[in-house]
Amino acid sequence: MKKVLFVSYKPAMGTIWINETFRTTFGMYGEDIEPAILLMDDSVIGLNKDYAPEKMGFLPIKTVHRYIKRYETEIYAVKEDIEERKVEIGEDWNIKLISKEDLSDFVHEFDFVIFM
Amino acid sequence: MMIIVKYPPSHSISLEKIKLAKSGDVIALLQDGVLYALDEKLITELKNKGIEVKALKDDFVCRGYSEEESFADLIGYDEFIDLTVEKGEKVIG
Repeated sequence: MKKVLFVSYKPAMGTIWINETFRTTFGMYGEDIEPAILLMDDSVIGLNKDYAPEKMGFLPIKTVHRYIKRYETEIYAVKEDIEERKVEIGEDWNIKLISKEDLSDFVHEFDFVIFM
Repeated sequence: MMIIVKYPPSHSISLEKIKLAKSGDVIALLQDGVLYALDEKLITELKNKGIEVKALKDDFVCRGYSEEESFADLIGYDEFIDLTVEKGEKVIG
């Protein structure tokens, strides 16, 4: 089974890319692929507890949480990016933090790393 | 691992991708990513770490640069395909 990491780095609000990262990941379920997500740079803002993408017409955050829980998708985020942006991570998330210095080793664990 | 860089230095994520490279990896500079080939310091640092850096000749030359100005190894499309087959088992794109 191929391991694929989808990386979202563009701002969580005002661009479609974090939403597309979730949608693309959900589209991988049922394929012979194990998808995971890495949020970095301004995409980590999408982890804020009061983040409400549905107000912009994106996938409701509750739907995102439901799929991620059901299919046990791993969500990673860059620790320094979260601290820099004073993000308060919502309780429904189960985020694994990766520090910048460990990123190189981390991405080398995957077969395909796709920057969205 | 093969790391494909398509965005120019002004696009912050492309440098973050380059920083992910480890010894034994190859960085392929395409489209506006070829502008990194002008950066002697960066390319030299990468090569010293055992990281290959290739740039698409057509993309480099059509942006008005002469081949001598590149510090990365310039390759044609055929070589890029061979590189993808050889190193493309794992990709950062």
